[in-house]
Formats: sequence, C-alpha cells, structure tokens
Amino acid sequence: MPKPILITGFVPGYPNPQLTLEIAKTCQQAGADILELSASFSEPVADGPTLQLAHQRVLASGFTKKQAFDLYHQISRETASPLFLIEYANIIYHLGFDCYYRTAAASGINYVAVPDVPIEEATPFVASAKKHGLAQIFLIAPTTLSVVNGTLSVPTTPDERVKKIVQLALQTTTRTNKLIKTPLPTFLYLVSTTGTTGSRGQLASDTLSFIKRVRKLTELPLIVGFGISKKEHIKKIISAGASGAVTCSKIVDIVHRNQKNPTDMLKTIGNYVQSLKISSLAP
Amino acid sequence: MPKYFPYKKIKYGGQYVPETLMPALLELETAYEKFKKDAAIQTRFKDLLHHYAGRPTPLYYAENLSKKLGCKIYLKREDLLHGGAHKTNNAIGQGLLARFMGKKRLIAETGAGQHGFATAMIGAFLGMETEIYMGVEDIERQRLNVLRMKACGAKINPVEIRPGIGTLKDAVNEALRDWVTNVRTTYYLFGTAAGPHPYPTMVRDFQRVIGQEIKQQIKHHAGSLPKVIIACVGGGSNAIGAFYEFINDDVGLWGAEPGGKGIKTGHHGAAINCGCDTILHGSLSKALCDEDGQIKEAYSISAGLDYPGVGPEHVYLSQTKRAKYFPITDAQAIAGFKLLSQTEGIIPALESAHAVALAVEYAKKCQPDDIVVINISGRGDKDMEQVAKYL
Repeated sequence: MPKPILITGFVPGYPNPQLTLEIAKTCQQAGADILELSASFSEPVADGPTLQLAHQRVLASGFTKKQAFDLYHQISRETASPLFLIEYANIIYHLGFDCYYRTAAASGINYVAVPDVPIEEATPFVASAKKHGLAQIFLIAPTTLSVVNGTLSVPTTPDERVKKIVQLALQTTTRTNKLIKTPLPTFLYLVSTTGTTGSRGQLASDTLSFIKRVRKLTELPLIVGFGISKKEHIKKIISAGASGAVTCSKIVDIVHRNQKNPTDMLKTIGNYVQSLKISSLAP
Repeated sequence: MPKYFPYKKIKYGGQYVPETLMPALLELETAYEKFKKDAAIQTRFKDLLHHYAGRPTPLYYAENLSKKLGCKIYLKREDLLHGGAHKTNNAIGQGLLARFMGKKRLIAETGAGQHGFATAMIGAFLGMETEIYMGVEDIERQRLNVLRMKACGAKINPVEIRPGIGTLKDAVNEALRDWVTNVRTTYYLFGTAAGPHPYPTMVRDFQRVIGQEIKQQIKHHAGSLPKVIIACVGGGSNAIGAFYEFINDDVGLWGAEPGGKGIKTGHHGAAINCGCDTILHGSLSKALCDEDGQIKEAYSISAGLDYPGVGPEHVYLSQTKRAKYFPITDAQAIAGFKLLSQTEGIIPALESAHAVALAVEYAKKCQPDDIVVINISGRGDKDMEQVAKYL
C-alpha cells in the first residue's frame, strides 16, 4: 500500500507574499506531498471563519490575481512541489476559461478545484483544464450520496451521481515534468462533512462510512478534506480507504495567531505538518 | 421554464453552488414540480393569499399625482399586503413548499427586513423554527423590521464582515453557509428572483400574481393595457412579478435600479447598467465587480436595493431589450418618497420610492392619456427614522 498523501493548504498573499513563500517551503520541508493554495475571493461561501478572515485581509491588502500567479510561480520554482489551486468560479469566468488555465499552467499549477462549480456547470472548466494539462478536481459531499431517486433534471441515483463525477474527473490529469514529482495524476476531493472549511475536534460520525461507500464506487484516489487537523483523523480515513488528506484551516489559524512573530509562525507550522506525517501504516 | 434564460451564447442563471448543496437543489426542483401540480396545496396557497395576506391588493388611480405629472398614474398597492410588502407572496409560497418537503427549519437573508419579516411571519404561522441573517448596517437602518421579526419569534443572526460593515450580500453568504451545514433539515427561503435555479423561476412564479392582478384591474378601470409598468429592481422580485404577465404585450417594462450617489461616483447598486457578467450567489448574472472578478460592495440609501447583483431573468430581459433599466439616485428617490406622501398620503418604502422617481422621469415625455402603473412594492414605515432628516 502506498504512503498516504498529505496536502497542506494556506492562503496565498497571507499574511504577505514573502511569508507565504516561507510557509510553502516550511510545509514542503516538513513533508507535505502537495501544496494547496486557497485563492482569495470576496464571497467565499464554502469557507468557514478562519479562511474568510484571511481572504478579507488579502483582498484588503490589494493583492491582485496577477501577483498571485507570480507568487505561485515562485513557490513552484523554489519548492518543486506540485500545486493544488482552489479558486472560486467567478475569478476563472471573469479572466476567461482559456486564459485562466493557461496562466495557471504556466505558473506551475497541477490541480484546480472550484468549490462552487458542481458537475452541472463543469463543462467549460474541464475543457480548458484538459487543453492546458491541469487536473480538474471534483468534490464529493456526504449529501451526494443522498440524492433523491428520479429527480427531474438529473434522473439519477446517488451511485450514478458519483459515477458521473468520476467520469468527469477522469477526463483530465496533470501534466508531468522532470522537476516536479506529482504523486497523483488526479484525485477526488471528499468533503468530510456538510458544512464549511475549518478545523473540528473530531471527524463527523458518518465520515468513515461515507469514504467506504465512495471507495466501492471508484478506483480513483480519494483525498479527504474539511475539518482534518490531527494525525488520528488521517489514520482513520486512510483505514477507511482514503489515499490522503488535506489540512488548511489549521495552518491558516496558526498564521492568524502568530502574525507578529514569523519565526514562531513557521516553526509552529513545521511542527504541525510533521505531526501529521504517517511514516508507516502499522497501527 | 428552462434552467437558464438563454441570450445568444451566454447562459444566465445556472446552479453555481458547492456539491454539498446540489442534491438539495435537485430535491427542490422535483418537489416544486410536484407542488405546482398538487391541487390541494395550490388551493391552500390561494386561500392564504386571499384571507391571510389580503390579496388582491388594490390598483389605485392616483388622481392628484396624475394631475401633477400630466398622465394617468395607477399604483399597485403591494404596500397594503399583510407584512407591508410584496415579499409575503413569496414567503407564503416557499413556506408551504418547505412544509410540503418535510423540512423543519427555515432560514432567510434579508436586507430591508421585509423578506426577513415575511419569513418570520410564515415561520410563526407554520410553527417552524426560523432564523434570519441580516447585515449589521441593515439592522441599524431598519430597526423596526428587526423588532417585528423578533415579535414573531424568529432568531436574528447579525452579519458583520468587518467592524460595522455588513449588508444583504454578506447576509446571503452567511445564509448559504448555514444551509451548506444544515442542508438535511433546513429550507433556505430565498427572498428574491436570484440565486441558483430553481429559485429565480420559483420566486417569479410566486410573485407573478402581482402582474396578473394588474392586468385584470387595469382592464376593468381603464379598459386598456398600460403604456408602461414601473418597478424598482434590487434582486428584482417585485419587478419580475409585475412584468411577467405583460412580456408578450405591447407594454413598456421599466425597472429602477439603485443609482445611489450617482453612477459616476461608483457608490451605487446599478448591476444591469454598470455591472459585468458575474457568477455570484449561485447564478451567472450581472453584478458589480473589479478587474480581478472580486465583487464590489454596492451602495444605496435603500437597504432592500443595496445589493451588487440582480436576478438573471432581468439581465435576459435587458439584453433582449424587452425591458429597460434606469439608475435612480438617492436624491431622486427621496424626492419621489416626498412626492407620493404629500400628494396622495401614501408613504412608500424607499425601495418603491425609486419606482415613483422613475415614473416622474417617464411622465416628462408622456401624453395626458398615457397610463402608467407604478408597483408600490412596500410601505415606508420602516424607513421613517432614516428619512427623518429630509422631512
């Protein structure tokens, strides 16, 4: 069995571009396999308070999308890590699908997820991702498995909806190159519980059964996010069949709490990321 | 109606929501189709509109205002509806739908507090737990409606994104976050003809009664259709309700957008006149945004119009040139507010005062026999503290 994939996320431009680069390096050195970049949008409806505050501060600082792409490029060059970008739909729509994905690819982005684009609206996003060699990452939520049978617009069962999501996910994979080792060609992002992003004390009671059910429906790697902030969470989800985990809000929270002391901030982030690494799968 | 309101190759509308909410929207679409065909519940809906809410509302010939403006002005008196605004039509409809779907809890966003109050009313009536999200700025400027919501037993959740900052847009974000968390038990009673499909269609259907009544009443009073129907447009629910019945008729449809301090100042909420194609709050429509696609904050003296976006069907009507939309400034709205209050003894909501002000502009080019219908979407009691300094 391969080692679990650890994805660590942060908000580009927060608390400032220079420190973002240091946070990226710290995560990579502490063992992150993929770096998640949670890009700022003025209306982050899928995010909890921790990320909302970071997004607001980034936007208030005047950090533009052009500066963001430059920063991604720098992070890619200096960490040689694969990059997973989270961007809300309007930013991509506004810049233009082709232009957005071309620029993202040129900036070192490997994977893109758009939290407010379900499969119903995904076609132009997937087409541009495919053209420019990015993996378009789709989310599956616990509610995906509670689709009412025989709805009018999508006459489907829960299993069929998951299969449709898988079909779309299989249309794109990330390009590869010699410098950056991409551990996965693509993956599915499982939202551990209904709700917004943010660290929670424990996994929701139905998370593990949810992972097991999706595992039966697809061979694609499953990465679990939302509320993952402890090694024990990761152990449990891996034993349920997931391939890895994303943690982001906890890192952003460390940034919030150590604004005035960057050295402590980086040290705390490094220790936190290391604490999540599972070196062997022995219980 | 389709999921989109297609215009050339651009599709307005759609369902831009997190996957967590998609099953809920699909469930809602199915339930709404069943709801429309269920004779018993439709009878109940009509009965409530009549006996609980007081429909039909009058279409009143405003003789004094007509003399003053030099054409025939009729007022559609949604201000006389129970609750004090057209929002009650939609809240009763969606409240019954929520109950029909077996949901236990209602949530809603509100700007002026009219939709929040309408939801609180129907929540009390149906015995459902009700929570309302409202920006802190709006809580301040629409205090009366906050008290009315509390009186009906609703919980108010103040939304503050920065110290002292928070309006309708932010309230929608928070309501969406609540829904994404409690989607299994909660019905999101959306207040305007925007948001993800099927909300724009559903809200229009529930507000359509306004135009249907206008059509009957104007034929009875005047013997002919009006030259124009004028309504204010924030998200656009009262306007689409007033317009929809006349889409295929030779009747002008004019919407008054919040021009704030003037569209050149950048302090306004005129999404159709000044916005760009934007994915906001679940649909592709027009909204105010910057070069990067970040949403800009709107401004209007009227809390109900202080929103950077607009419903997708209005964008479609604007693009196809079937309806026209004009910015009306705060100053024009205040003048309209005073004009209607002082000529007819009818105090309109600041939102509706934008429509009155647009009628004043329209009348400048009118013939004496031209019939103008203004949709007075709500009454102005809630705005008295805010307009006190202008009196």
